[in-house]
Amino acid sequence: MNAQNKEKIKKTVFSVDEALCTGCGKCVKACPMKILKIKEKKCIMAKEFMCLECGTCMRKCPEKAIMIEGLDIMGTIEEE
Amino acid sequence: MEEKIQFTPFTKILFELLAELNPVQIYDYEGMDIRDINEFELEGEKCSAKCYKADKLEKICVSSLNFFGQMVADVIIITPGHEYDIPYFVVDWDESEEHIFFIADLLPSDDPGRNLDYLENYLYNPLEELYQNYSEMSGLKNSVFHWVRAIHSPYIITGTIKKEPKKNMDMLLDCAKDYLKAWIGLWKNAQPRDPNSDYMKLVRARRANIRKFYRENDPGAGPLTKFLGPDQAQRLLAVIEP
Repeated sequence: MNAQNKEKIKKTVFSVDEALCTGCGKCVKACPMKILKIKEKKCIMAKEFMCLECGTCMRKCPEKAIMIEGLDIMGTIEEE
Repeated sequence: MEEKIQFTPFTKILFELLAELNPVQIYDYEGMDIRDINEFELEGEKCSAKCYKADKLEKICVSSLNFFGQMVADVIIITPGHEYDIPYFVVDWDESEEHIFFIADLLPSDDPGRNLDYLENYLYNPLEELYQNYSEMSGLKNSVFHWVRAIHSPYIITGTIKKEPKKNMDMLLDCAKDYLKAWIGLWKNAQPRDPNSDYMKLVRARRANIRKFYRENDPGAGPLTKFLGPDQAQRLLAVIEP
């Protein structure tokens, strides 16, 4: 298998319900890839291509404010 | 320039303990050619997923996946052969800059709440003392996944542990090694059972559920599908999982 090309890796579709996000930063601490940060008291993702889609941030969010396309509420792949 | 994270050579350390099983690497599994996932690169980082055969076992899977140099997910899962009722050995060591997500368990092949001999001989005797020693580590908590809580043993050690102070990592590594040594003790004494007995039918039914739960729900499926595509991810998961 050849090395993956950064441009070819799917960008994760990450969204935050700003009405729910309190900017507590638990997702930032939990993300193993260190690609989440808090900006203006809201969670944002940098380097979407690096997101593992492991769902850890979703599970750690006390407000259930984080959504990742293709993952269910438990942060696992949605059944088709 | 950012300093590269130095990861623990976890699978190498544990695989050395498996030498007495005389594992022999295989290159196809369930009819699938798996040579392309034995060793490969993700964004220049080395990854591997290897499958071995050994006496009394269906397979030993050893995988190590490095994601952008930021996190390494190391897994060893040993699946018993169909004539043996010993537990699976399961260990997961997901190391990032500051934390390790960890699982160590002997995953029971029969329901230890129904079969009290199983509980005593395959779980309590080999693991009770170890569990009392390791379950006090800060950061351990039960799995968030209901299917993990349903099928794993009461002796599962899991949670997210801070790497500092270093004694945390040393203790986790000792835990993985001790659980593996306990499992090897069971493997040495394992005797074949009649696969057509009512008991082994129960064992097979539970194992079928274990496989189903893992293959349908493993949170590792997300990252693998994203980075490898569905075909290679599916083959890799089939190799890795029980």
